[in-house]
This record gives sequence, structure tokens and C-alpha cells, in this order.
Amino acid sequence: MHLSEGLLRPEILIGGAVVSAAFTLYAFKTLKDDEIPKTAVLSALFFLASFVHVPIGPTSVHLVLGGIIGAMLGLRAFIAIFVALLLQGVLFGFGGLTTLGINLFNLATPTLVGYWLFMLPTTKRWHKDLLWFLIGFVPLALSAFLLSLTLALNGDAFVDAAKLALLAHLPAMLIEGFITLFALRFIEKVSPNLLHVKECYATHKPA
Amino acid sequence: MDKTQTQPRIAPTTALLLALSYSTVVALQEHLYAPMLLPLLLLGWLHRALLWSIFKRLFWLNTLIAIVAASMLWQENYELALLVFLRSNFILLFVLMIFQGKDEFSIAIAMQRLHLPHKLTSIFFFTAKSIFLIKREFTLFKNTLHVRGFMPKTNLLTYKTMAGFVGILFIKALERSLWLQKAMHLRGFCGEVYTLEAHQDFSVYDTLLAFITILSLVWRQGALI
Repeated sequence: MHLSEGLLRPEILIGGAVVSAAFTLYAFKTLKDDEIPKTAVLSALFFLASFVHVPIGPTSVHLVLGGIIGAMLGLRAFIAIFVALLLQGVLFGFGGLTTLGINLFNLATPTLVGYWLFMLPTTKRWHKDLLWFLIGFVPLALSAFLLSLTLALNGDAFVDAAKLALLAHLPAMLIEGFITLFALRFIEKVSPNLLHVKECYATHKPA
Repeated sequence: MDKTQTQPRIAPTTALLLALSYSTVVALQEHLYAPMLLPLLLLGWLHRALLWSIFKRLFWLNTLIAIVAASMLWQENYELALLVFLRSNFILLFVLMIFQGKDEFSIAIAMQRLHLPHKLTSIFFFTAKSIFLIKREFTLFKNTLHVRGFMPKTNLLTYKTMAGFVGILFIKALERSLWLQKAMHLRGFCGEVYTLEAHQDFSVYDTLLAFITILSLVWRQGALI
């Protein structure tokens, strides 16, 4: 999911950095002190999600949890993912400093779709289940698409790798969708008040 | 004995600034030069006892780079494949070695010492603390599953169990954020985190590494590719 250092052309690195910086600075500017703890703990969860490996056939995929974090944070997800990506880049070499902007764009922008899906009104149980599955599936699918698009825009020599990267993410999208669905069902059963984030955002109060 | 304790430590602030400079300059190069290896050699010597584990990590980080390089070789674009492979590995090796032995808290401290905005440094400190606590719960959960004889497989039970684990992590994390928010109110938090370590822990190695890194980025002799 992370684009490594040294792969991309300067135009892509700079473009990704500029767009991500604009979103992140706006999110920082509007961030209230009360929202810092929630943003920080969800940033920690995003950081650690890459250590949760889920088996699929002979191999395994790691979780991303971008959709569910986006659902809980909205635009603040840019800050949470920025912090997590920077720590992953310097401490583990996942991604890196020059690719931080483009990786942030590829991973954080789709989480806004997760937030939008979470805000949709639902009346029936199966509607809710479908939306919760999509909160996991769609942001990861969009991230994989953006990653492949980034590679394809990097030059003709990268097109084959772009196609392969998109195909390789297909199982991860399904797993992410099911894990998000079951995790949200679990939270609804055990601590339903935590999912009342919808009402809290609607009235602009911290959850 | 922890091998990292025997290594000369580079200050986190120096590490962050030099990693940013080295990555930015090398990532934008169309040609690589022999002097760019100098900081890698110095860092390699400083961390000589840990080189095996660093190279093992580097090997696993090369998955995407190998796919990209292989697709270029397939198209007979040998020079670009070599450039991408070397450029990525130079930067990765530099980052892995310079941040060797550092943790999330040291990055947060580096952010504070660079006088970045208080909101940003506060989030780094709270994230570092949360990572520490969630990691503990992660290990506890893994051990619990292991003791109960749970074997992860490709089936619904595994996915529901993993989802339950994710759910628990979210519940605990969100509850913790509420406690933290209340604690911040009680302590009169005004956007700034104070640390006990007030001094910058620079050593002679910081100066030497900074000098060699800057030299390596401006000295354009001996093209490698």
C-alpha cells in the first residue's frame, strides 16, 4: 500500500505533497484541543493495523482500517494518517519521507468516502450491514486504484507494475470489508454509544 | 544485552533532518554518484553489530521495488531498473540505519526540538503513548488466543475473531481518548506538552554524520549510473 522512496518522478512527489499539505493544514487549522486525543489514538490504531495479519489461502494480508478511521474522524483522518505514515516511514521504512505526501493522498482521501458512507441514514439491518462492509471495502479499493494510477502516471515502464499492484489488492479489499463489518457490529453490541459519532458531528460537539 | 545500547546514538533531531535532506536529494536524482555511499558506510560502521538485522529488514522492504524493477527489466529498460533499484535502496538503508534504536517517543521529542507547532507535537506525543498501550493489548490478545489453541485459517471464524479484536481495540482506544480528554481539561492543557529532557543530546557523531551527508549530496564525482 505504501509507495517506496526513490520510485516516483519529482512531478508526482511534489504534486502529492502539495495537495496533501493543503488538506492536512486545513485539518490542523480547524482542529480543536478537545479533538487531539481521539485523533492521536486513532492514529496509533492506523499505525498498528499493519501488524494485524489476516490469513487468506496460503498467504496473508495486513489490515489498513482507513475506512473505519475515516468514519470516526472525517477530515481529521488526514492528521491521524499523516502522523502514522511518518512514524511508519522513519521507524520501519514503510513508505518514506519524500513519498509521505503522495502516500497520504492515496490513503487519506478515500477515507473521506468512509466518513460519507457512515453518515448515510439507514433504516433496515441489511442496509446497515452493506454500508459497514462498504466502509471497509470502498476506501481500500480507491486507495489501491490511486496507488496504481500513481504508478501508471510515473511512466510507461511502470504500467505493468501498476496493473499487478491493483490485482494484488483485490483480496485485501474483501477482507477489509468483512473485518470492518464484523468490527462495527461488535462495537454496536458492546459499546453502542461510541457509534453515536453521527449525532455528535451533526451538532459539532466532540464525541 | 541489548545490542542497540552499545551503538553510538545519533540524536533524533539530527536523524530527522538528515533523513529528510538525504531522501529528498537522492529521490530527485537522475544519476547516482559514489560519494552518496559515504554516509551509508559511516552509518554501517556505527551500527556494524546490527547490520545483519538491518539488511534482513531491507530485503523484505524490497518487495514493491523488486516488482517495479522486474517489470522494467521485462521491457528491457535496464538502466532505469538499476537507477530505481539503487535509488530506493540507498534511501531505505540510510533511513533504517539512522533511525536504528529509536522509537515513537524519540520522534515526538525531535518534533518538539525542531519547534514545530504545539498541536502537531502534542499529537505525536499522544500517538506515541497510545501506540505503547495498544501494543500491550495486542500482545495480550495474541497470547490469549494462543493459550486457547486458536489457529488462524481462511474461514469465517478467523475473520470474526480478528474483527472482534479490532472492535475491542477501537472501543478501548476511543474510551482512552475520552479519559485523556478529561485529564487534559483537569490539568489545564493549553496545547503544549512539556518534557523533562530539556537538553539536545548531540554528540561528535552527529557533527561527523551531518558533514559527510552534506558533502555526499553536493560532491558530484564518480557517477555510478
